[in-house]
Formats: sequence, C-alpha cells, structure tokens
Amino acid sequence: MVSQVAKPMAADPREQIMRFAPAILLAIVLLAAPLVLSDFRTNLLGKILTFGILALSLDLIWGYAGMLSLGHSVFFGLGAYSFAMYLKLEASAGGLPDFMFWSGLKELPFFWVPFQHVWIALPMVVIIPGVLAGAIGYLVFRSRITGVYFALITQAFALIVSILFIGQQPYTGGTNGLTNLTSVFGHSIYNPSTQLALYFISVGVLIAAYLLCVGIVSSPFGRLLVAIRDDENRVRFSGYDPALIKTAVYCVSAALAGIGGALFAPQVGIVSPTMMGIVPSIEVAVWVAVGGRGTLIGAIIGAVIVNYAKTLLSESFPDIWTYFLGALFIGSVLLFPRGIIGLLRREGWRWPDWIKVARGRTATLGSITSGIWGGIK
Amino acid sequence: MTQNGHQEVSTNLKDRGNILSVENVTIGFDGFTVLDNLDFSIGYGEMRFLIGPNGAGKTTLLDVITGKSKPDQGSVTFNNHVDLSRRSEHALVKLGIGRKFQTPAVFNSLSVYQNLEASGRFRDNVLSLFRPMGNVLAQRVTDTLELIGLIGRSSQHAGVLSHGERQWLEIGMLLVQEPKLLLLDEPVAGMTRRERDRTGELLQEIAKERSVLVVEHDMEFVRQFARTVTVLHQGKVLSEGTMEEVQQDEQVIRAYLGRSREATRLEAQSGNANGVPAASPAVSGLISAAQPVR
Repeated sequence: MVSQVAKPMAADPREQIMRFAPAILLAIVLLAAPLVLSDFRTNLLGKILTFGILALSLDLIWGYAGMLSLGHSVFFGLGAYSFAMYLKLEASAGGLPDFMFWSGLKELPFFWVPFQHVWIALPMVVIIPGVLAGAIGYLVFRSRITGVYFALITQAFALIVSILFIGQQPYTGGTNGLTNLTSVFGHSIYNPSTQLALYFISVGVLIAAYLLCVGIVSSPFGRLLVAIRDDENRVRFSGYDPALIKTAVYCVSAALAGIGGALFAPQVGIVSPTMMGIVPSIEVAVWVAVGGRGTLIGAIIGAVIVNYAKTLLSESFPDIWTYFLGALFIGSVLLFPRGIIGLLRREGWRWPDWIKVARGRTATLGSITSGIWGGIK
Repeated sequence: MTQNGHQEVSTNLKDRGNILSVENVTIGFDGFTVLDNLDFSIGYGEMRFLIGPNGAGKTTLLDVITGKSKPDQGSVTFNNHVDLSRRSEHALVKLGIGRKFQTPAVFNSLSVYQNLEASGRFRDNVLSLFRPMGNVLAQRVTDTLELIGLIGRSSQHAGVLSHGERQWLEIGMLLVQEPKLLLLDEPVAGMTRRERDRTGELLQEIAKERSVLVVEHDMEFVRQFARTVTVLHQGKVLSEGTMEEVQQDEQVIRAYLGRSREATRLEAQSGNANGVPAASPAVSGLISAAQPVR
C-alpha cells in the first residue's frame, strides 16, 4: 500500500514543457545559427558556447550547493592548456615548441611527453581539473570553510595559478601562453569547415553537459546539494558528511569547466594565463547572475548574452563599452535579482529601492499637500 | 526523601543498562567550566526531561553527546559499549543518535516530502543517491508525514510552514532515520498551547519505541508530560526524579531562586540584577510550579 503522496513532485506535463521550453528553444536556435551567421560570427558563438559550459559548471555549485567559486576559470584554463599542449606539439610537427626553443630548453620536459598522445591529452582535460578540485575542495570543506571565505580562497587560488603559469616561461609559454595552434587532428583551425565542426561539437557538448547537470540537480543527490545550501549543519547532523558531498560536486563542476576549456583552445587558437586570472573568474559569476542563478539554462543564456553584448559593444564603442557591461550587471542585480530566467518565470522583477523611495516620497508629499490644502479649505 | 527518590530511579535504570552514559565529563570554554565532572545516564526506552537555569550546560551536554564539542575529560558511552568521544557528528547519527536543534532547522527550499526523503537516505553512499528511494523508505516517509500531521502539506516548501510545523517537520526528519536515541532541544519553544499539547502527545508516541532526551524550559509542559526529570545546575546534576520530587528539592529551589527567594522575585519583576539571568520564563515557571506544593 504505497500511498498517494509517494510521488508528490511529479508535476503536470505542461509545467514540465514550460520548464524546459527555454532550453529547447535555445538548442534549436544554436543548431540553426550557422545558417544565418557568417563564418566569423559562428566561430565567435562557438567560443561563447564554451563559456556557456563554464557558466553551467559554476551554476551547478553556486546556484545549487551555494558555493561561490571565484576561481572557476582556472579549471577552464587547465582544461584548455591540457588540450592546447597536444595541439602545440601537433603544430610543432615533432620538434620542440617554439617558446621552449627561445627559452633555451634542449628537449621536451618530462610532463610534456605524455601530451604527444591524444588519448592521454583528452582524459587529462577532465582529470587535471577534477583531481585538483578534489584535493583543494576536500581540504577546504573539511575545515568547514564556507561562504565568502571559500570565495576568497578560490580567488587566491586563481591568482596563484595564473602567476605560476606566467612565471614558468620555459614550460608554459609564460605571459603569451601557448600560441600558434594551427591544426586539430590534421585539420587547419583556420578552415571554415573545421570551425563549423568545432561549433557543432561545442553545441553537442553543451547540450550533454546541460542534461548531465539537470540529471544531477533533479536526483536525490541534487536535493542534498540544495539542503547543504539551506542548512549545512542540519545536513551534518542528519548523518551526511557535507565535505564529501561538496567535494564530489566540486570535482564534477571542475571537470565540466575543463571540457569547456578544451573546446575553447582550438576555436581560438591560443591559450594564455590571463584567461585564468581573477577578473575572468569573476566574469563567470556575472554571467550566471545575469542569466539566473540556480536555473542551469540561465547560466548558458547569461554567458551567451553577456559575451555577445561584450563583442558587439566593443566593436561599436571601443572606448566606453565596459561601462555598458557594468550597467548591465548593476541593472540586472537591481531589477531582476533572480536573473533573466527568474524574470521569465515572473519571480524576479522588483522595483529598485530608489524608485520605491521616490514613489513613497511622492505619495507622502501628495498626502501632505492634500492635508494642507484640506486645512486651508 | 528526595535523595531516596533520586537513588531509586538511578538503580532501576542501572539494572536495565543504559543507552547513554555520561561519566565524569568536564568541558570548559575560555577557562569557564560549563560541565563539571558530570555523571548522567538514560536507560533504554526512557523519556527523560532535562531542565535547569540558563547556563546550566544543557545544550553543551547535547553538544558533547552529538560530537559537536569534545569534552576535556570523561567519557560518553552509547549502547553500553560504544565510545562516542572520538567520532564525527555524522558518524554518530549513523549509530542512531538524532538531534533536534533549539531553533527549527529544516531545508526551506525543499518540499516537506523532500525534507524527509533527504533525511531518510542518510545511510546511502554518494553514488546510490542518484537512484530514487526504495519502497520501504517511501512508506516510512508517508507514515512519518501522517504521524507529524503534515501529510496534507507534503508538496509544499518547508519555507512556508509555520514555526510549530517546522518543529514537527524537524522531529519527523529525525524519526525517518529511526534513531535509538532522540535528543530534542526545546521542542515546544514558540508554540501555541494547542501545538504544545500535540507535540507532547507526539513525544509520548515516539518514546514508545526509543529513548528520548528532552531539554525544555516550559515548566508547564514538563509537568504535563515528564516522567523523570533531571535538573542540571552549574554543569552538575542537581537532582533527579519525578517533577514533584525535584520541585520540592531544597537545592533545586535555591538554584533556581538564587540567594533568597524574595530577592529573586524582585529581580524577576524588575528585569535583572548582577548579570544573573533570573527573569527567564523557566524560573518564573518553576517558582509558580513550586508555590502551590509548598
């Protein structure tokens, strides 16, 4: 006699369709986009979609488990470097990469050697960010470091890693990073058909990553993440080790970010330490906040809109475009704190405080005036 | 007479063995001793009420039992043989010790049903948490919903529940785990009279199958539902017995009333003096409770 309340969350199908409508719409738009866009714009959108994967990975831990990582582009960067190392060796055609030669290295450093093989380089895209996140995450979460302290530690982590990569010129290419990546699996990356293929791979990986995240957050494990966000102590005194759960999801998130980075490298042809610094990491949080935290699809939409706006604005207003970006962020936080998706779901709109104050004052002024007027009469 | 009553109760419990024995536990913070060589035990299937003035160490005792604080010395033994002092909080829950916090702690963004589900799956490992829950647990969740009276609200977010309902939900989240020992820190705080009575009945129902320790300030509630009461004062057990017995215990009256009863009553009226938290509802509750007896 399983009771009638056993599955109370099985929502009606119309609600389900509404829930996934933005995702389905976006997938159709992305798949059709190359028909309308120029090769250049398609390639640009492909690059932005890899940012979408990065934003998705941040939303998984920030929007659901409440862990704001301000160093997430490090994992993106590590994924990008892992694959770019292979691409660089491919571009060097068996020789020593150019920057090593300039730095006076005579032979390939030992940790570069495995990256000659694609079947090592590709798994490393996931393994390096995942293992690093696991190690750091477990130490941090076991010490019960949460909230803003976690954000600060991840930010310091971003700084350390980017400085490390800049400082190790002979091994990492230093400030310039890994440049002149010319081909991927024998196809020139400047070839429009290669770029189109990479674009569709990015769309496919993005969809797969989205479905993976939806699967995670709608499982009992995902509800436990929300439980940790709500009250970590209650989770601990309910018999779970929050450190373990948080580490697990942090690993998955870092691995996803790494995959995004690996797709970024061949589409742009260059990876550099600046993309792992503090500012790019904070930008990821901006994308997620603009799109709608804790919605997954909002993270992707936020990444696409902000980055596309960034490109268009910087083309049209090369001097002042950053102000538009700042205005977009401040405006979205003030006007729709639940992001674009929150606005669509009609949860997010609010009058900014200054309008409320102004309206309140007008009303007060009005009543005083009418009071005085009434007194005079 | 009170002394005799106290001893009778203790020996009875020892015969049956204890689900929880706290022996010689001392713990201090910043040089201030909170629990002072405390000996305390609960028998199998017993419902015990723990009362005492503010700062007596009641919540600290729960912290020690649940591993939140480690004692400076002494031992805490569960189920006659398990030493609790070296285990982490979540491991203690897996042993069968559930704790309700003073302010209700539930997961606001999850539905009532999901709250119970999240709590009930505490023995699953990370990977099995991706599978839906089994029928046994689903049935237990439904039964618990019925017991705590929230079956009609199972799909609502816990965030919209009233204070009393949140308290019940948290108790339900513990019950789903089928603990052997349940620790409840002020389960009726902030409840209406009717909610309080329902909670009392719920506790009696719960206590049929497990040991329960209730920390409570509401003396009327304690008198109504307590069988055995332990009075804690300055980190030590001051008295133990039925409510009538401890009410008549000179030491208890002195502990609650301070130096003289007249002075304390003045303090209770005027607010506070000498930093002694005398005006708490618990104190006035005990005074009024003690009055007719004497």
